[in-house]
Amino acid sequence: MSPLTAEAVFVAPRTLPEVYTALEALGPAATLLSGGMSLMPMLNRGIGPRDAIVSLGRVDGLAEVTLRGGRLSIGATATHTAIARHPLVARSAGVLATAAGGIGDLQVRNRGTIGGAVAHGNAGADYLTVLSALEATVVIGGSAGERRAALGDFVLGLRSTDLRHGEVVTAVEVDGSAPDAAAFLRYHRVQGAAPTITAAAVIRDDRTVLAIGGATPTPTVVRVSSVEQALAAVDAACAANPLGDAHNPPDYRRAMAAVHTRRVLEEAAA
Amino acid sequence: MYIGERVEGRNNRLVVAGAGTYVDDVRPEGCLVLAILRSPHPHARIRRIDVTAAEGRDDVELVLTGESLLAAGIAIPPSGSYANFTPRMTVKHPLAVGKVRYVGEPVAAVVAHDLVGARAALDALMVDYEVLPSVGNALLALEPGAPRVEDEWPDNVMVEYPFEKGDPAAVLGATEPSRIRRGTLVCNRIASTPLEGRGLVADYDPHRRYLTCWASTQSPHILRTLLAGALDLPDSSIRVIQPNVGGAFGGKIPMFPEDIVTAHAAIVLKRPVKWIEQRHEYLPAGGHSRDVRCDYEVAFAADGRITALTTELIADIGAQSTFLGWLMAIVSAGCIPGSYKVDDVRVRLRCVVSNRGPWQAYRGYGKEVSAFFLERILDEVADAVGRPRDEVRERNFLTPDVFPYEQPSGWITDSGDYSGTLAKVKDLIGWEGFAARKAAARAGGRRLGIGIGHELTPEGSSRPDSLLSGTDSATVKMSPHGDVTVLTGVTSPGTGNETGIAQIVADCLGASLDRVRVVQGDTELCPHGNGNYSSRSLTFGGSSAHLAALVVHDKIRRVGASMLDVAPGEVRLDGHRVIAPSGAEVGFGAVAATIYRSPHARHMEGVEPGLEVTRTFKMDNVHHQPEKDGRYNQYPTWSFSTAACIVEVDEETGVVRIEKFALVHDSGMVVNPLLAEAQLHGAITQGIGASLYEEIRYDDAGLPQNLTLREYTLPGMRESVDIVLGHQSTPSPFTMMGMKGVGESGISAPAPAIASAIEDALSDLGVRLTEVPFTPARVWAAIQEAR
Amino acid sequence: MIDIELTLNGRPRRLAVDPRESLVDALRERARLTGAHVGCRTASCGACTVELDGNTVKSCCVLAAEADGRAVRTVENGAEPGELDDVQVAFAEAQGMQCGYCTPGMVVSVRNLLDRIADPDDDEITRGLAGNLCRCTGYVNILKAVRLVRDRRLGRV
Repeated sequence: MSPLTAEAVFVAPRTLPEVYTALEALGPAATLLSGGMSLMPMLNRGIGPRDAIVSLGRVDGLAEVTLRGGRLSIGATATHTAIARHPLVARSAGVLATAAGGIGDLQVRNRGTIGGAVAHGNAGADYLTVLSALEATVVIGGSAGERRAALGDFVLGLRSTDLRHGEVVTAVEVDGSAPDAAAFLRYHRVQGAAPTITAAAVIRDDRTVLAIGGATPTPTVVRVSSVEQALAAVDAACAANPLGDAHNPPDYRRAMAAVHTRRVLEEAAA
Repeated sequence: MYIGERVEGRNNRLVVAGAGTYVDDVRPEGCLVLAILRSPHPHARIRRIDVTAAEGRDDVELVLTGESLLAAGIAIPPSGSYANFTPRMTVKHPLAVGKVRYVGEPVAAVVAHDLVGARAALDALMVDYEVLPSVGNALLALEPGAPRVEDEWPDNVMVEYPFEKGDPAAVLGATEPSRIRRGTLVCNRIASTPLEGRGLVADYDPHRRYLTCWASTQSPHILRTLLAGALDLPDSSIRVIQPNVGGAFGGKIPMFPEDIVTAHAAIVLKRPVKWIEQRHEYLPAGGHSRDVRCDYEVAFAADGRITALTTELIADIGAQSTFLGWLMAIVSAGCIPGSYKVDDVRVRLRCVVSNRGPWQAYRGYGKEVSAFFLERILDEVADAVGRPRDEVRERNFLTPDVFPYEQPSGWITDSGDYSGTLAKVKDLIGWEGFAARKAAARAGGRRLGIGIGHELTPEGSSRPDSLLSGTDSATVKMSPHGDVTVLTGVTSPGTGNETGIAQIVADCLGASLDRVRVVQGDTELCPHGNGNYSSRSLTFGGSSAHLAALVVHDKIRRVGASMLDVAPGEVRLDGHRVIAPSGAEVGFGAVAATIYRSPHARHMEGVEPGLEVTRTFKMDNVHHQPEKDGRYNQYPTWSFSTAACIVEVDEETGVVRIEKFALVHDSGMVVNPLLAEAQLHGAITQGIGASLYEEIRYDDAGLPQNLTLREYTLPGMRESVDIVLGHQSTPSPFTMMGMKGVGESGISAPAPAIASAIEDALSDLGVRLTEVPFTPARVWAAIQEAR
Repeated sequence: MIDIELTLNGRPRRLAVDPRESLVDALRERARLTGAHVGCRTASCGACTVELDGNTVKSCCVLAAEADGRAVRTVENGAEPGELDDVQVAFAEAQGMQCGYCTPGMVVSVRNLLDRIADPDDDEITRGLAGNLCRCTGYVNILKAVRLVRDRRLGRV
């Protein structure tokens, strides 16, 4: 818990350089806020520093979706609703639009952002899974300049990413040409619960990338040669790095990873 | 006639506007905010609490700890006595003294100027804990040498309640082994979770020595008296006002530790103080229910008739608090075998304390636990003898001719026709012919199943030597303009009984419904009542209002007849008028004006002045003198329902989807079908939630696993099913107009009906479900086990 | 404290808020609009639903400061006391509520839904209201209420 400063601070810069300056000036006490759908529930419960908030909500152009040089770039503050409805996303990465449209509920989708979700790094999160299958690149900005990281390298573990203090996820990039086929499945216990398993498969030039979220601390990504090989690879990953909670113990998640591996590959192939 | 009409709820247009006043909307000038520091440990000794930094903050007005309340003389001694058992009791402290016994137990309180400041002050409190070994569930708490939750008790058993009828051991001994089944069933823990949390605003006037509390409570009068006891004030120095309440379901029956702390803070500070519970406080510490395990042994005949039943119940009631929850376990025991005639029965209940959170009343109040156990046993017996599940229920049901029927627990069931609701619900669900549908679906790769579940819901609980008894008074008064006000001691946390009571009074008086106003929820305005629990609002509150209205009716009749110059027996009262056989009429306004303006004139000869009457209905079949007549009964009316549902099961994932849900309820005469259905829809949805989606979980150390609604997941509109309702009316012979309570109907039957349907969908695999809720992981595990 | 300026139910409004304060607290405590209710503070229950620039959000998980310069619509929506719109009347008539705590959030979600989709089917209604929990009365009568107001607007009843 943080000591309460006499004067709490809220800044909402218009440009990324101003964001970096603010993060630097406020130091480790700074809390970077995007849509708030993961962060605000914690701040509301008194978890984490909450006296110096830097909002990305007013940074010009940070929510833009563009198609340039064959890459589809989605700005960090694009909301799930915007991504689900965006014609460029629909054309280049329809499976991402499908995933975005199934997150949480309408109010959550209207507020939650792709940058926030990626930076939060939650296991099973819809975006991490679908972006893994799309072999996405995370664009990270900071006062020292911009860097890019493959999503698999950026997400280190359960709610742990390679985002360093002072840095901001500014965009996510995927291949701008539509895959030959793709599918995304979300399996959740009940509306309002985090997904138990998310599964994505992307087929491009006879190459299939499968991602399964929710059964391991970070999505399990498999280059698929056959359904049997994919099932074996996913199962081995689950056995090596099991994940579970009170409602969905590891053996159940592991079994569901297999079920959804098969189902998502079937759907993508259909 | 208004009774039986679908009259819209009287609060609808207020609350739909967002204009309702809930407790957090009550804001006296200068109101301060109180927040509670809660234990992060399941079991720990408090070595020291350092309040210096918190007290030093500019915006902090007060810091309270267990020791400071003790110094002020605030502690809650045990009170009341029990008819059939003797529990171990403890002195209860609103803020922990010495040690904490569950995560979320209140440890200290701060009062600051706003919520942000109060939270910061909580951060500044430093508590030095010595963590103690803990018992995270009842089974661990029963192990020899287990850590003790209450230091002064020899073990963790709070109460043992055994009873027996006949000789089940002899019957079991004489039954061949193929006609005996043994097993274990488990009802896991849930929380009522009204969308509005608990809360209280207290304002103390030191000049008048008078405390006003606005509380999100079900029972203002009870809270007043309990607060008066805790704070050592006269009852008459406290006024409790119930504003709009955002759902309760038993979860707001007083009294809570935070109520005492908040009221005490207001008295100390001589300023208004508000405490509003946050959801992450509620889920671990606002009170839970269920969490009962049943080890059973059942013997049966070849036709499925049960010949003997023994049940060993272990209720994990968590740590003790000022909450009123643990008695639910007694009701679970007392309702075995409930709707079924079993002459040789033994029930033994042990209520075990653990380092889980305390129990608090929740709709069902233990009856849902016995319903789950009994219905699961009935299904197992049906499978064992290879007879249909409906037929085996028919074979065992109590028949309408046996009532009033004394249960093995001694409680007396008033009336019932269980075969009737079963037959009706089978029609509604399409029981006949389902087998063909199931087979066709199976051929197409889908698994459909059908199930039934029966529930018994004794209502109107009136316990001896208890404030929660049967005293629910009502006042009916008519003003000089002929307008009617009903003041009642029962309350509505959103259920709509104010509308039903208005319908009853309007019919009794012959008044226009729009000229009858109902006032409730204020100890200074309303006569004494129990508020809202055990579905008493219409059976007790409505009957008392009816009795009072009869007296007013009689006076209007006499004076009106005199004004019309006919005999009182010749007139009728209708449409707010007194009408003579000739058609001549006089309005209630004119009659009331005569009564008030001319009490000494001709029409009032022999008539007492005034038009204000208070009456209190007494239930004839509540019996509290076993030493005199050998009878003990706390439940005057026994509503019941039978549910049936069709589910689809995904055998790969264990996901259950309810395709259709039907329920036929019998709560006697229904005053307002629209509101009764709204109640049933809600109860069934809660029952489905507790069957499939909701579960309060702890680890073995007693750490709660659900701190937000993202983990304690309530059914939403996506989980909603089309509910088909049917009505049957077996009027109670003991209540006015045959009313029975409807408030708890519908919450118990879903779990056994859904379990039954899931097993049916997987019948070729021989899957057996013994633990509710049936989460996908549990159903999947049961399928793996069967394979 | 910081000053924010917003368009609240169609009228410009300036509020002084704490930087840590949620929008729902600012609406309730500062603007004295108590129709939005707090049920969870985790964006789960939807009792605090309001429109922010025309989109529904759960105002417990939006900082008040984020509403600076934006338009907020609450259940009150500038109506005179006692005045109800057709969505509210349909909820009242269909008994689409019991305690009413979730109802203001439901009403905001339904208004928004019908602004986006004039003739929603049951599935669209369900998706539109999936983020609003009702604990008292379930969803049967709520669905009836939405169908009722839809059909009235389309002249079907």
